[in-house]
Amino acid sequence: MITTKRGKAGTTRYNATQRIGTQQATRLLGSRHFTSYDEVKPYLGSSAHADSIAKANCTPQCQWYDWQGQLYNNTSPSFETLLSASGGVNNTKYFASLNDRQAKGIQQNTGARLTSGRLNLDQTIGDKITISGGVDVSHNKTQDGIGNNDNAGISPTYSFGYSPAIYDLRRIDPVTGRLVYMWMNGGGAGTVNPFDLVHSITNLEDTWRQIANVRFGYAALSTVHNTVQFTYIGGVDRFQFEGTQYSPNYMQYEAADGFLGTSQINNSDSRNINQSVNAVWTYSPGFRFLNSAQTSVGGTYETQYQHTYLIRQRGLTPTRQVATGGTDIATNDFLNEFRDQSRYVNEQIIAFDEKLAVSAGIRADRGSANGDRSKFYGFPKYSASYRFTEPFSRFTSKIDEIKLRASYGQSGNRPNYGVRDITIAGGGTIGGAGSLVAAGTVGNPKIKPEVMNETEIGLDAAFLRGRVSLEASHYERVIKDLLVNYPLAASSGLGTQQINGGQMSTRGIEAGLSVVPISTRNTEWTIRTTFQHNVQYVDKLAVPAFPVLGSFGASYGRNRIAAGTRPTYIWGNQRYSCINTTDANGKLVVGTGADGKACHRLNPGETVASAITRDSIVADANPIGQTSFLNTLRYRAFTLTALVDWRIAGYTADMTKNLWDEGGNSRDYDSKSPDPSQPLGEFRYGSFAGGNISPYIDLGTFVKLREVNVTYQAPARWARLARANDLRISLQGRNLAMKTNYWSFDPEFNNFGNSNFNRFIDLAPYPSNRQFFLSIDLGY
Amino acid sequence: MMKRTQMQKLFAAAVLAAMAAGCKQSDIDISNPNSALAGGVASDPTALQLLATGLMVDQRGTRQALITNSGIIGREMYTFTPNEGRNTTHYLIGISVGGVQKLDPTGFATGSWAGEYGALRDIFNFKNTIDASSRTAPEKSAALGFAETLEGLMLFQLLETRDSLGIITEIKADPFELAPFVSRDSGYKYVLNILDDAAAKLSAGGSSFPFTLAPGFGAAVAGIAFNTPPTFLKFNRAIKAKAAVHYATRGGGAAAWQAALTALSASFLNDQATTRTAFDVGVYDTYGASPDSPNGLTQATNTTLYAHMSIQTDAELKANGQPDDRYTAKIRSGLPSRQGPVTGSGPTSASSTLGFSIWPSLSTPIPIIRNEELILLRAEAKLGTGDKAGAIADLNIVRTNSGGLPASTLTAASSNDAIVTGILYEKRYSLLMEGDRWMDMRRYNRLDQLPLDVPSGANKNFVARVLPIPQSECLNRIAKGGDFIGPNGQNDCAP
Repeated sequence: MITTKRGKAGTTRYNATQRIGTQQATRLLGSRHFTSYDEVKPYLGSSAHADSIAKANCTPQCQWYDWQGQLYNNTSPSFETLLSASGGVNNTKYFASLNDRQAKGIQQNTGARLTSGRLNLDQTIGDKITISGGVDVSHNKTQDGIGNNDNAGISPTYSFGYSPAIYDLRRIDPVTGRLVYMWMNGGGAGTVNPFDLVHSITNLEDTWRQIANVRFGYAALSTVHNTVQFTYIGGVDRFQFEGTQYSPNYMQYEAADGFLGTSQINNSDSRNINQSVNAVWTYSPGFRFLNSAQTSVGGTYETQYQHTYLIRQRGLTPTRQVATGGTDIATNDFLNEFRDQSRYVNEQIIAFDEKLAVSAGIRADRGSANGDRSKFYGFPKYSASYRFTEPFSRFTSKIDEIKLRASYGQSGNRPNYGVRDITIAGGGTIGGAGSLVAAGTVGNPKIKPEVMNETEIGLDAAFLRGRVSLEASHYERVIKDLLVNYPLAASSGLGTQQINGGQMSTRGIEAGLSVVPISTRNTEWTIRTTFQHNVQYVDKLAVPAFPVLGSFGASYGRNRIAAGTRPTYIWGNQRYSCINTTDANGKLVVGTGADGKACHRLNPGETVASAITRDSIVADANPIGQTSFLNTLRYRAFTLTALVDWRIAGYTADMTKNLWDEGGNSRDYDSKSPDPSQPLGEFRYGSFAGGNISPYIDLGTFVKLREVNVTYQAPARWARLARANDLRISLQGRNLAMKTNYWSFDPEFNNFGNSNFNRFIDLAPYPSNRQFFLSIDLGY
Repeated sequence: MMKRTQMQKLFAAAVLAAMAAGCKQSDIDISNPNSALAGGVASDPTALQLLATGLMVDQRGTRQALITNSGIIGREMYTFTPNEGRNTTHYLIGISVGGVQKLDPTGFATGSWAGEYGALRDIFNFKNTIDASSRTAPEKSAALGFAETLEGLMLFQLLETRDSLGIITEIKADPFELAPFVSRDSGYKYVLNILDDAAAKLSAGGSSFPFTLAPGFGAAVAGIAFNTPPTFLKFNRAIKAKAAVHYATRGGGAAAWQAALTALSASFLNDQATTRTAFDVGVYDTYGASPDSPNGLTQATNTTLYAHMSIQTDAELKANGQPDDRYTAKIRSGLPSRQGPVTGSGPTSASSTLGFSIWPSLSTPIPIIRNEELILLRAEAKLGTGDKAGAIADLNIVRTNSGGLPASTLTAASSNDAIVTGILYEKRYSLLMEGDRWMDMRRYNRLDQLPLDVPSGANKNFVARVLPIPQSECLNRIAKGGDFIGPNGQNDCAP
């Protein structure tokens, strides 16, 4: 259920905010500065035109053009306007707002606009009934750019990576009247001039979203010692999404698939509805040893529905953009649904002067994704905490309060839609006849939710009259009946099956410390720092180890699910002088390599006779820890905040660097390498081609200045100039700076987006950007 | 007191209300409209046709991978993708393990495995469906003969690519249960037996199949009809002959050569062929535009498929000084030059300006086996049984009519090796890009005679002997050891 700001009783208050901003690329990759025609020749491909360009532009030294800087240079201003009104009259409170935000992306010809409106109402009827409701409607239209992984040479990071930047791509070719071709790397249909690309193609996404919720509350009983409240909550979240992509017939790469012109339209309709009823009885006897006991009981019913279909046509009539009339047609239609019913009961007791809090509860769910739809799966939870107020007060008055807490809870994570069904697949057509083949994904009618058991113990403490506060927790999450998408042996003739087949655990600590070093009438400085660290293990696995599906293979690094190892390890090809073996008892037998030493891993460039290439653990993608610092400094009417994030370790597969080395274009290609006969780029790529991917597994430690914010609370007379009560001016910067040794754009990218595994692969992403805003906030 | 009872009643009402919310279990019984449910399909009257077409779709799905995998290693072709060097390095360089160069089991060159086993699983399901159905005895016999022929073909393809590693021949009903490896020798015996069993079933199969075969078996595409049990039998015999010839050079000996000759005489071999049409008679895989599958090798859309330069330099000349007719018909020149990725010790000499003109459009069919191949297989079999003159005569049918070359200078007095060289030249140009070259050179222990592209460095002169067992298969089997990781104590899954 999504709920947002509500109104407050009293005279209506209005608020208007206007923001103006700009953006720029945080960091670009640079590219190789070629020194001579001979050096650039292998990367031209074979066209005579490329050769003549190279000869003309490389006498004597090759010219260098900042292609990336020119493509990702869109600093056009962004605007945001926010209007809101909130107030209340008698028994009605309301909140309404309108928001319009438009911004450009750093890649030319990209941008987004979000317009939304919201209305929240609260109404009290009599003294027992409260009704509240809200509606939020938004329209989001984005003009996306092109980036990330592709094999057609269209993504700009690919075209730039393989093409020497020796001529100006922004010139108009007098013969065609359009931007010049990309002649490098063989030219032809395998590449494109990215400047032509971003200005000619269409890649739009348009989403209308409606969120509504309603809440009925009935105070059935309200006495000194007992209150009983019944509540019904219902919410709807709907969206309609339409995506259109169009690539005109004349684009340089269109000839590659034999069909000129490509058009695609993608529609998705989603509707999520959530309803719940509950009853809460609070008993407050007013005894010292029992402050209150609260019992809640309730149930929910949740439905999710999403229908997606797309049409793609290739071989279009020139300038006709819609997906029809093409010579090659592909369509897809998919329906995704989920329904869940649950019941829960919960008891919470607060006792001993509100020092002790104990609670216990259980939730039972049955859902449509489980193999057995009629079975309720129960998830209990328990927690307790105790506050020591003014502990050790005989010895010190510095400690305000220490609270110890512990909790244990279970929650379930459901299987994916369709996993429980035994299906048979359509196999494709031959000569107009359809076919049936065994489904690649074997259904599992026994599938059930995986259960996460989380145990947490923690400590909260406050010192020095609130000037210092500390929270620390240690948690352990054990997922049992782990849902594993397991690849069957190919010799079975089948693909994958989702099973409940293992146990995975995560252990970690989270800590936060807030300190207020200075607190006077005019000045206040607060520092808040948080730290977190965790380690994951696969404790048990019911099937043999397997590499996580959805990766680029062992040569780019991927996670492997294997019992007794961390699922965050990056596995890839590496070289060893020899391999240790195990004897009949399972004991490790250390071997000796041709260099006379015990078996060891070889660094890139190291050679030992009879070395072995093997898919093994390279590094851990999980950081050792992450910490952040938030400083807030207020001096009179000025407030300055700064947020710094520091990630310690966490390796990334920097495959963007591999791309640029393969294309001979990385900015450090010509630097020195451990092998004096090879420049660095050739050395790295040669090691990769020879079975050792470690030159591309990079340490992702970074320190980022995420945000700096300066706000000025203007004096009242300034506000009155605008007939307002309140005026605030702020200047904000986001993603301002990054300090890291990482080669590519940003160590936080993940090629596969929001995935559970394989989160460390960086392959030709879109550069990240830093943003600046100036806002003016008026309150009426 | 009153208040307590009142509270209890209120609470009971609350609990009941909570129960009522979302009470009906049937509310969450939603269907899955995205896929066909297996139970529902089995009872559909069109199911048998759809399942049979499924087997042919599966077989077709393995064809192009077999051609390209063996084509790159057999030095017939390259895949020069400008932004993906691994399409070259993974086949021509591989990895070094204990001083021995081999293909990476986690890399690109691990194909021709999952596709074939997918087909075998569908054949397993099909045979069970036929057995359980209420068809007449001849119909069942014909259907089983059809399925077993395809089974033999799929297992033969696995043997062609894995050779001495052995293969797995059994499909288990439980998908989690693993079947053991059998040796190459056992594998070939199994294939020959099953093709013979299929032949017996086809002979008892009446005059028509209880379903329609794909167009590639029909006279319009194939030249003659192969879509009835008696005519499909000829296709079965052709596959048997090819498997027997391969087996003969891998330990099958004289018996296998003789079996090959017997099978060829029952196949569609036509040694009176003189025209291209007559040589092209055979069974084909057909392709087409969406929703059908396209021929991915066609020059109309495939700009990364290049031919090996040695095909040009090694082509023999006709009497008029022009190159071999088969070269002229199948190769086109003048493509923009492309090469493999630039690495310190990579295949930098691998480059080409030649392409293929074998498949002009995305609906051009690809042959599974043709008359031209049968004649050359008979040449091999005749040589194997000591009939050198017969072998040379068969070789010349193809050489003079298909290649337009003068008759061979080989005679009955020439050495076996020289005649093998002659046959292999004819096979190279007649069966270019039909998935034979690499296997033929390996069978006669001539892999080192392939034109090699890596002149120096650790990977010098590497030609893969077999495709590896894919790593995902090995990870499933490592813990079991024994026959599950290789036949007769061999370890196919060692790093």
